[in-house]
Amino acid sequence: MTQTITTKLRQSSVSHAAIIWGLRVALVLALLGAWLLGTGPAEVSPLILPEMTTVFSSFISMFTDPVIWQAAGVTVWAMLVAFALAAGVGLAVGFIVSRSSMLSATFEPLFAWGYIFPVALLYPLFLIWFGVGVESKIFFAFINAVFPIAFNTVKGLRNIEPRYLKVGQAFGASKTQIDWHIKPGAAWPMILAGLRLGAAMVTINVVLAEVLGAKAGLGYELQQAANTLQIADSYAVILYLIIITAILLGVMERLLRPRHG
Amino acid sequence: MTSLVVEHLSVSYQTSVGTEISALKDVNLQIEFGEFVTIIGPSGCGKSTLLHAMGGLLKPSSGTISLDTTVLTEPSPRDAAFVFQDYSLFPWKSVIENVGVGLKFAGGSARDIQEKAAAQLEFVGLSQFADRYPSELSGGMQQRVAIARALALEPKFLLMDEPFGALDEQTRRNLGRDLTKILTDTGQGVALITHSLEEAIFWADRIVVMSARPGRILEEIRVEAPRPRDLSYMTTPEFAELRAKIFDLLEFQHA
Repeated sequence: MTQTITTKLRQSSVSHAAIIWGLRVALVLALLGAWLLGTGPAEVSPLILPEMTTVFSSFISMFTDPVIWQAAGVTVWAMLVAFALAAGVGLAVGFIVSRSSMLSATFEPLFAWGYIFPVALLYPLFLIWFGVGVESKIFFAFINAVFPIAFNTVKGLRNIEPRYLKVGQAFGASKTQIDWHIKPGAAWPMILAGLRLGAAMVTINVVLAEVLGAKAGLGYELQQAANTLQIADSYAVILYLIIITAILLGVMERLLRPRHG
Repeated sequence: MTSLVVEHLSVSYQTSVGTEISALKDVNLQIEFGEFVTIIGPSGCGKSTLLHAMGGLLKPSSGTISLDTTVLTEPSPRDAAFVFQDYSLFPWKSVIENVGVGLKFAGGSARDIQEKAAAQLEFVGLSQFADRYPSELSGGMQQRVAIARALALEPKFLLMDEPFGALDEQTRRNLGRDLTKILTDTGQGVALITHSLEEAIFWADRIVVMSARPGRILEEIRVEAPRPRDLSYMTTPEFAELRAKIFDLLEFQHA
């Protein structure tokens, strides 16, 4: 009885998943179809939408070109460094601030505000401070990512379910033991959410910084191609960017996934 | 012989508007090592407050809790360990780590903690779930883990706050039957809060019946039948008589 129910459930969830995947594939095909339609019968200017075949041939010729891989290396490196810094600083600051209710009350709104502030406005200043190098990019992405991480860390550590603290108290945990054995575990889902947000912030903002002003990286290559009207090349660089950031976010997502309910 | 002694215990709260609410008033109670005491009373009568005070989780307004002659002012899990109604296991720790938390807080060696926790887990029949997480276990199993967590400290007394309150009837009965065996084997003194007449009688050497707020002890009733009892005890005339008596006590104060 139970077995038939589970099999039924499994079958229905399998067909459910199949439908979703089918829809996704259909969506991609529709996009590609629209592209073909646009460059074909609709005669959209190749400056706006180049032909699919030219984009793919430039994608493939870039594949064997060391320039694109060097640029990708610069971009990925900046993302990783910025994320490591933002995670380290955000967690540490969040932890310290959470220790005192006065500090938390002071900083929580600041973190929330820093989180929604359009840091892009300050990028010209960063360029003056750090020069048009990797430092500006890293700092820019770091500033964008550090606030959600710090904010969520404080929120998580300040809002521990009272029953977990009660268990600690009942089982004789010292203040330090509560800090190390209970609070981080109880706050972890919230902190993880902050780190995931931070990871997304980093990938978006490194590329944005490279487009706004840089000397290397995929964003810079994209900007160069667009400036010289190599539209097919810009589309190809965008494809590389999508693939690389998707892989990077996928890996981070996997690393930062909670282990259990 | 060790005993847990509650003397002239009163607990009152200050509400947000400044009025004082008296939750417990002059409660005196003594539980001997190896004795099983159940505490029953209408909801809001302060029975949970009493248990929390006994576990050192709550500061009494006046009166004392002592183990023999030593006054307890803070939680001392090796003397009196707590089992919560909602289990309150740590979801981020594996089952065996949960069983070992008390030992860990007490500062045992990793090896010692592991061995003792494994032994307790075996004792409650959940060895095969050692490396699972609480969310993968049923409510009844989680409560067993919480009981193992309390027993791991080899406490002299066990304080159980409606431990079966969140479980369905069948699970309650099964867990209850297993627990009879477990607690008879270990020999702790137990204070167990319940709102079920059947549970209160079935388990107890002594039943403490409490009044509505402010909580006072109305009557203490001794149950003479030897423990552990068989489920068939619930069909005896003695059981029915006790049930009627407590029912009267509880109903009378509602009037």
